[in-house]
Amino acid sequence: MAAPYRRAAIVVAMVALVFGLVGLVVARDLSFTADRGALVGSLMSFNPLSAVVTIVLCAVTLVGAWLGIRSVVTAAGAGFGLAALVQLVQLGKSSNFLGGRPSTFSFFLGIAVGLLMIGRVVWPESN
Amino acid sequence: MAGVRLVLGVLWLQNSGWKSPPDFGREAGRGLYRFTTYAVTHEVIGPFAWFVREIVLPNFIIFGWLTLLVEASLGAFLLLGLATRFWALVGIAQSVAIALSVLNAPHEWSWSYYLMITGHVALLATAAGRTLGLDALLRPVWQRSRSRVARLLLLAS
Repeated sequence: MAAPYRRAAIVVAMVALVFGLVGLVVARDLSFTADRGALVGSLMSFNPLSAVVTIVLCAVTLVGAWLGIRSVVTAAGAGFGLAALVQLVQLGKSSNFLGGRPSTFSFFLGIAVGLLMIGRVVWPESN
Repeated sequence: MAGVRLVLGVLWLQNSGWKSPPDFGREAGRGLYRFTTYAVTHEVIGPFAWFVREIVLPNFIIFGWLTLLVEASLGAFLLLGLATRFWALVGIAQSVAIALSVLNAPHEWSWSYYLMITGHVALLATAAGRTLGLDALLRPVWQRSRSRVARLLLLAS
């Protein structure tokens, strides 16, 4: 019964993970907290820090979904929510240590809302 | 329809990217500010031009942030397929607002805006989040729930 929720969390995390990994590759020559990140396919920008944050939170999500522990998925969603908030606050400021653009905020927001909504639902036979 | 929803989600996500705070192009007369002024300089309908001239432009920074938040949320929610019908309505409203701003501006292809509006109408009409979207996953949960939020989400999906 919990399978659809776990699968949804895995799909969301895998999509985000792909962008995080590509982001890490395209931003490899930038400083870790570069103000202007590198563009991923003209969609959104990452610096190494935001790419690593994405990859780590995706890894946490995948572990939570794999083990069926929804509180871990929720925590990862909250992490993405915090990243979205930090990115939003930094937009247009001289210090932008996540290196993102408004589209990066949109990306973090989507992953956060998705994981929080999936984690909020009671998964049968899960913690 | 899931494919159309994803394409429109990417469209909004990418286009939120050039809404650049803090002044959204006001100082340099470019970006969002320039496109917004087209509603006045290349008027499509009088009342909308008046609204932009008298309400939007004097409060442009607030309007810029609102645009950024709406378009970023459109990208996020349409890609997820969450509350899709509600966000399709928002997408129609935003597409109409853009069309009324730039339809008569130079080098604009008016059909791109008609297609944007049509795409969102299709998402609304087909409840496109119910296929390969979170709406499909969560609607049974919302249907079992008696909470007001769940009822609203059912309506929005």
